[in-house]
Amino acid sequence: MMRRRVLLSIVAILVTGGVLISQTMDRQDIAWKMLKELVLIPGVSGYEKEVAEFVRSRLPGEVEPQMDDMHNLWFTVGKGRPHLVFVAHTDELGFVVEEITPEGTLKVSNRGGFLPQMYEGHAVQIHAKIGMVAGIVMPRSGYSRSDTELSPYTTKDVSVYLGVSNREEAAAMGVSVGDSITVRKKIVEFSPDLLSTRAVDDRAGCAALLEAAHRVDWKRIGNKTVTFAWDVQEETGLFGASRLAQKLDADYVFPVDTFVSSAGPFDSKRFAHLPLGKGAVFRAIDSSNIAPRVELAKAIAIAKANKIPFQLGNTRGGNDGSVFVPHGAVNIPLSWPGTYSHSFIEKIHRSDLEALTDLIAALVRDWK
Amino acid sequence: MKKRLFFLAIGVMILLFFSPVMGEELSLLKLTQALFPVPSPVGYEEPLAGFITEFLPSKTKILRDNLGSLYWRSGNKSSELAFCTPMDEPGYFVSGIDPEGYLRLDKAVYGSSLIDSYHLGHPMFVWTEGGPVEGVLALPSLHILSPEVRRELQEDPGLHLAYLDIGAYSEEEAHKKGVRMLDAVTPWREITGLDGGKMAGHSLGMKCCVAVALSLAQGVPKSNSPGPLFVWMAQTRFPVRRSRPRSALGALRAAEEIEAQVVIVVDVYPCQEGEKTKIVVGSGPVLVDGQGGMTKAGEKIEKISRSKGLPLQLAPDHSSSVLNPFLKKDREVIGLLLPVRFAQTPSEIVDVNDMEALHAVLTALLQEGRI
Repeated sequence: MMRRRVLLSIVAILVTGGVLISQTMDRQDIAWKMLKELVLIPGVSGYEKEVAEFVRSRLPGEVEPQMDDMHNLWFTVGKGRPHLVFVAHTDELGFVVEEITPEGTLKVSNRGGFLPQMYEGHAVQIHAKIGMVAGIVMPRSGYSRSDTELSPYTTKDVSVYLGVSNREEAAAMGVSVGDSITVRKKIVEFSPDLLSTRAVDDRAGCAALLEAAHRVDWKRIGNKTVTFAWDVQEETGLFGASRLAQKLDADYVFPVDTFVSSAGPFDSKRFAHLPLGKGAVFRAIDSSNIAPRVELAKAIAIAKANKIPFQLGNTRGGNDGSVFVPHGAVNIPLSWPGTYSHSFIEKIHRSDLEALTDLIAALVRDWK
Repeated sequence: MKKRLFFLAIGVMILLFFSPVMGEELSLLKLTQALFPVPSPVGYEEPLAGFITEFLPSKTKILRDNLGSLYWRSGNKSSELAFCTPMDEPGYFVSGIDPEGYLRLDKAVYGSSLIDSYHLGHPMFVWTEGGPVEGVLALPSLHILSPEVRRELQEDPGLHLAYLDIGAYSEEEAHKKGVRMLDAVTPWREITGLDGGKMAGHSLGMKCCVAVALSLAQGVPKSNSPGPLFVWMAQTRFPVRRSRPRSALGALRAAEEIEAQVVIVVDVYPCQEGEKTKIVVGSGPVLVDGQGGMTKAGEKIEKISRSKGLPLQLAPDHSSSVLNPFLKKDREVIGLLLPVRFAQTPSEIVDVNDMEALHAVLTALLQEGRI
């Protein structure tokens, strides 16, 4: 009788363990798949509603999301201290229609910083109220002559051709001033583990945070408060984060965003030379923040204890967490190494995204 | 021999990819859409030649010259009439593999470096023996971009800045992906539909012209009497050294090969912004009479267009390296050209109505018989 009980117990443990392992395994690729869906959703800064709605629709049922009028999305679990805030931004780079010329072409302004020449001669998508309209960013005059003297191509030089010849025809297509514009996106999959596309910054952060929301057991976060937020208008000046920083009384903020790696062929290897595929990144120092060493050490200890591959480095650029710091929060940015930042071919490795997702879940669970 | 096998292999891969539509007579637009993704950079036209061959009604009378041009006629011998169409496009090849796995690119035909720079930061395909390999042309990360590199990108762009990233971290890994020196490289492409029947894409004009000629060939009735000759010319973007007037290599070779008394060149007409002649996309094909005055063939084209209400634009002074080699004594040479805007860019624009008018006037010309 005793032996039978022992045997039954062993079987039960094996089955339960197997189920748990298989559930974890089942979720291994979800952030990666989610990323591939998220990057294709248009969400130029100030036009993030569709991305936010997508994220809201994929949240676990047990959390209670809120969305403000800017389309910042967040949920909070727990009541104690400390209050940890994890934040990723939903917006992406792009243009907004400023003028429809008498010839029916579009003049634009940029949302965020990038090289406008990337768009020259390429197809774009105008996100009009009636739906998507295709356009071409016209090549500059004299483009085909080899003796053309080149000057910097700026946003003022951008003209979008719709195939029409006057303003009325453009308006009849449903295009209007204020519509957002993105490049036509293409995901290049070098292998099952490596891809390049537009808007990896910061849809990868959004995907990691969303998947971590499913991996966390929200009943077992201890005596602390945790907020997951997907904020807006990071690329144009951290506006969404500024709103959240005022609203959420954070003790710690963990912005989840790109670590701009210098692993590309053009980049100086003097700093930021973290390779792809070697783990998540603690973005310890950037242009907007220096993570306090003692607090950083706590985070690193949690990564080590959970056997999560990670890297440590410094790079350029700012992060959403920086606007929480004046309100008293400690800012510890979490990242993945990415090359070709702010281009159409931002590159990311699946294992880094996976490590980042695990790191977020571990910090929620183990941070004291 | 090895090179020939390689091209055949690529051709077979393309054919397998498009096998569901092979052998059918597709509408002109569908034919263009099917042809559009087939790579055909100058000197690497074999996949497109293979594709055309599969769509021709009979394979028995297909001839090739040693540049890769393709010759087909319907009758037992050629009639007085020949249609000649370029089938090559701008493109690149692998000129080196860095120790870090990046591919370096070059091109055989000199041209605007600004056009080359349009591909920086965009997806590309390497056409290897084992199939297409996807990659991206690297750009510097904006946040850590040095002023020197920024200046170079803006003021001196070109192939010296092209690092093709195929996701390999070493030369060995690049080789494992099947990449070899001199493999053809083309931009990733997709047709963009614009308002008013216009569409845009990389080398779309050339593909439209190939489709028009192919569709015409498909429509020629089977007969034992002499039929028109169709030539799809390779290497027309490659110039003959020191040629005066300027001549394209593939066109010069074709001009030597054929005996037709009337040659109609079906090619693109690159519209220049602000050009004096005011040739525009959307106002019909462009008639170019290669001999200064109007030839009988040119007159007939005009007459057909008028009688059928088809739009036609005239550019009597237009000269091109593809037309020039055909100009010979005792031969009528005209160009019936498809106007394109933003030629050679990733978004070459054509008007479907122009393409259909081009097809309609040539169909009517064939139906009327002798010129």
